[in-house]
Amino acid sequence: MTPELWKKVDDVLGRALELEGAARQEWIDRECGTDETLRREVLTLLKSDSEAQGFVVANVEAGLREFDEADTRTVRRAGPYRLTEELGRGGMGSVYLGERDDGQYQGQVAVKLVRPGMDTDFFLMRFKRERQALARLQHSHIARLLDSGTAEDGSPYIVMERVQGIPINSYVRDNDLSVRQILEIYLKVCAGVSHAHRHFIVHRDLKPGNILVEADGSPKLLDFGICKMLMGGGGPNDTGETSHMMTPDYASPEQVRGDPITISSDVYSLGAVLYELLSGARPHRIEKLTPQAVCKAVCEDTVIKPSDATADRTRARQLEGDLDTIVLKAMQKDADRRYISVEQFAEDLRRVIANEPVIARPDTAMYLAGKFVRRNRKSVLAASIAVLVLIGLSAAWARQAYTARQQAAEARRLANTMLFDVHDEILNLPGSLKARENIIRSGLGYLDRMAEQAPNDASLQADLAAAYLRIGDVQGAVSSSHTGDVDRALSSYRKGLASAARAARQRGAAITTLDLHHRIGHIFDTRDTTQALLHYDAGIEAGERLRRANPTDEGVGRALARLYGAKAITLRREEKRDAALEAGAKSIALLRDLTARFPQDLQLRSDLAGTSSNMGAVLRGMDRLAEARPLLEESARVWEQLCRERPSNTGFQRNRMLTFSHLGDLLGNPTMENLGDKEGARAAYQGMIAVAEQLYQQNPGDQKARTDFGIALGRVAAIPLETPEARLAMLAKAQALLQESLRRDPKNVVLTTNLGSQLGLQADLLSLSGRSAEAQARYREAMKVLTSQPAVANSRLLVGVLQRAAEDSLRQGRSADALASVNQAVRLSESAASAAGASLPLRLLPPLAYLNAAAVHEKLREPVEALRWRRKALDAYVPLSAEKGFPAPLRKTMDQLQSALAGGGK
Amino acid sequence: MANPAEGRSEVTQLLIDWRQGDQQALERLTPLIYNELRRLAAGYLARERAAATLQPTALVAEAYIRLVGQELPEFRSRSHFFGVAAHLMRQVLVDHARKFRSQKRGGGQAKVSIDEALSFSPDRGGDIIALNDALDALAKIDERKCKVIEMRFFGGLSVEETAEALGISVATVGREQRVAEAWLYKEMRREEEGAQAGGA
Repeated sequence: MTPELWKKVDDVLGRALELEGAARQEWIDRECGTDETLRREVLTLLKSDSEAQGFVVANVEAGLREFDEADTRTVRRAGPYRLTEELGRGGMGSVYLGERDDGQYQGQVAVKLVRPGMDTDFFLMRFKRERQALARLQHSHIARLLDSGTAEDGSPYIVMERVQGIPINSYVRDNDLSVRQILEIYLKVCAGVSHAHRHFIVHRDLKPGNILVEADGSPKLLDFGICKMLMGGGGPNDTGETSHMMTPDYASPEQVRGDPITISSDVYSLGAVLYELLSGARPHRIEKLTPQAVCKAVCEDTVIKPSDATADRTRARQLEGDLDTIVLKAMQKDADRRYISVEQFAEDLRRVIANEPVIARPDTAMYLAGKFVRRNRKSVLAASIAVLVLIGLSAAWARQAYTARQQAAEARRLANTMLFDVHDEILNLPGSLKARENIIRSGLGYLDRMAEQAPNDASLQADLAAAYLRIGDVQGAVSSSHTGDVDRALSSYRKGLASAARAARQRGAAITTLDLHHRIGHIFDTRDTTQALLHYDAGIEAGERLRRANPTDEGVGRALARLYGAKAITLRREEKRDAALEAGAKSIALLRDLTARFPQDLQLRSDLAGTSSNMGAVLRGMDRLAEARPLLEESARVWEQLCRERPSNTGFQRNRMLTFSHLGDLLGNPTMENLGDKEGARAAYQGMIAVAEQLYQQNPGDQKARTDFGIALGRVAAIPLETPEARLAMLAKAQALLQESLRRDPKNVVLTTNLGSQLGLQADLLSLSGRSAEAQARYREAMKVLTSQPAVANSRLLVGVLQRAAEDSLRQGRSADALASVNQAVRLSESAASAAGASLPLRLLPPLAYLNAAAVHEKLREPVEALRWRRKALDAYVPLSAEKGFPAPLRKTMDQLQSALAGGGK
Repeated sequence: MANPAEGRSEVTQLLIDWRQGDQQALERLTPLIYNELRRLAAGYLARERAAATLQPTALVAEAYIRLVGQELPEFRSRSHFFGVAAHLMRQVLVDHARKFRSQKRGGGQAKVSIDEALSFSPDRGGDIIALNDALDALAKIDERKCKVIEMRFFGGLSVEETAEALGISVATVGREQRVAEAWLYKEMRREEEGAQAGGA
């Protein structure tokens, strides 16, 4: 790629990434124009962007992993020491258990070997110097340096006294030491550190893992000065608590900041360790191991008192007062305010044991206030998280320190940072809800002030509209079930509309307006359909106006397609089918045009397939079966293409399967109105089975896949093309699957409905084959399954099953059984219809059952009874026929019935 | 300074020397950083196994805190220092991976076990050398983006620190990073597919 082209790509892409959906597409269109090379590059990179999340980290991680895998070293000895066992491994070297061969030193030692590659002159010189310093330390509470030398391969080693103990925090916890016992042991630790300080050696890495307590209760300090030499590569007896290596819980603020270290840093660390020993809690809450988070926790956050940190109430009372004060004095962030020496710190601990007044005094209010101001100034300057930036900006705004131009720039920066970087970054963090709310709240406050202060800056208002849109999306996404959040989202969208209105001439704002209307409509969709439709229409009107000005604008096209599609779904639910079809057709037309122009766009194509399928279903419901067919076929075709291109996308696969099922139903499902194309239906159902079986075999344990496969088999079995035996075999297989699913999810209505329906079909087939006894048993089984879950579909199926059971009985000449079944159906339908709030399909059941009864009486040559039932059926139908949603096919049947009855009860 | 080693850590001194053009300083720096990183990597992986969340980038930053924690280097700013260090970190990681792999595969042992072959499959989480190559390619057309990636992912710098080190706005860093990631992803995919097609 030429630098010129890259520069263009970079410019277009950079901005495109900040935009979304329609606005993004519009931007790309405008910038690329007819430059197809540019457009292709941008689109390819946009696609990469959607997949690139986290992949750089994964690659860096792979590099780190290779570090871990690399261990080429197998050393057996160092000087006179035989190395028996590796105790631990650190960065600069490994620690081995060693024994001296020549008997000069009895017992075990810890041998630290420096890693090859470390043996530079520079390092060796340093090593030697440190070793000399350590050799001066002779103290009963410091692990002794015994020997040192150079191994055969030239790398230096040191030999330390082997300490067999456990980390002091574990020791305190395991032995449940009292405050006094802790302090007594701790004074010995302080004595060791103090000894080293007198020899000008600072430990730098005091932590429980470096303070081991031996069986006799005597503490030993490890790694004195070694951390400087070996970077703390785990003490000779490090218990492998790697968390200590990573967690700067005990590091002083100056260490974290990278400031010079003095003995005061050791005082701090001693305080931090004592904090943990006394309270059982770590002094800091470090959320992430980033430099910012660590720095904030250690250098800025106030350390809570040990007595407040402990969960033990008795212990809390013992710590209150002097011990709280002492520990916090040792842990002062300002080194000058700590104890000036470990000795002084130890002296105060001794005074506590002796019940004498201590040197330490609590912080004064004045001191704390000054500290607070300093801390806050710092956090604004060095803000590492957006919230702080925002609060800082708000404060600056309040002081009116910003000019209008700066505000506009800040708004854009804010929108980008907050809405893309920060929010997306924390989106996947566990427990980030609070942070997200914070970001949203701070962001909103800021946006609101900006919107008020610069009402006439059109470009600013356009940005604000986009920001409100994004914020609303975030609020809505925080918890879609939480109505409070939905209300807040609605409020943001409305503010967005207001801002967009002030920026009416800005193209970006115009498309944002369409999206805002779409979102508001969507929120109202389930609450207030009138409002929802008003917003969809407002968006559509504005969108159509834009389209007239620029008919090929992709951004407008996308937004409009979304609006029409949403409107169609709402209208369909409202049973306004004609209007739904009209809107759906517009959406489909736009999507067809867009998919032709952008054939690689998966979103557009799946939208098209979904909307076509939906509209096909609407047409089917209106009995316009022939019109539904091309839509469902188109949908199936698009899903098939998508599945070929993205074979691993199970969502596409499943949609394809569902569309096949709709198509098969339309073409020839014998239990519904259909086009009578049994072959077509079978082909569609077989397509359905193929997908379902594949999904099932990929994941046999998946409840959904298993159920889908069982339902698909049942659908094919329902078409009377195969032999009854073949159909029965399919049903047996299907039932095994559905029974298994039902066993795991006994309350699932879909399962009971499908299983009940299949059992009924099985019984029908058995009855046709003259196996009446088996058929009756299956009918009973079907009734049992269908009555186990109250549902509209189940009640309807039940009435049908009872009817067919009655017919079977009739064929066998068992009229009493037939009448019993019919009467049961009547009773059942009446009770279902009389339930409070019963829906129309349920209230349609009794007349249906009466008609069935009439048919049975007819067959039993009881015309008077039959006529009585027919009249009863008609009487029940008539009041219902005025209701919305009365099914068209039924109306036809009813009209026929009415005319037949009018004709003298033929 | 009577005793330079007392006042300033060797890492800081070496970084300053290296930055001032002393190539030998880099040679001495590498083992220091190498080993610190290795130690931390072991800890990181142990934590990862314990299902704790920790970013590898934070790990890298942690390595630097430990290496130079004692002194604030005499750089324009801490961010700047981290930026230099990030580049070094990348070099260390890549050099190590190269050496490690040649050791693993070399020595007349051409045979690679199935387990080993699998362990290098791309599914397992990536390839530092491939990333490095892609970064080199990126640097040729857009050096600043390469720097942003280095600082963010090898140096563990925050968006703000990266912005400060490069003297650009926070928003620009976000944008540059995103574009660079998309570009690198595409580039590495291309390489991967090319390799597969060639090998088939």
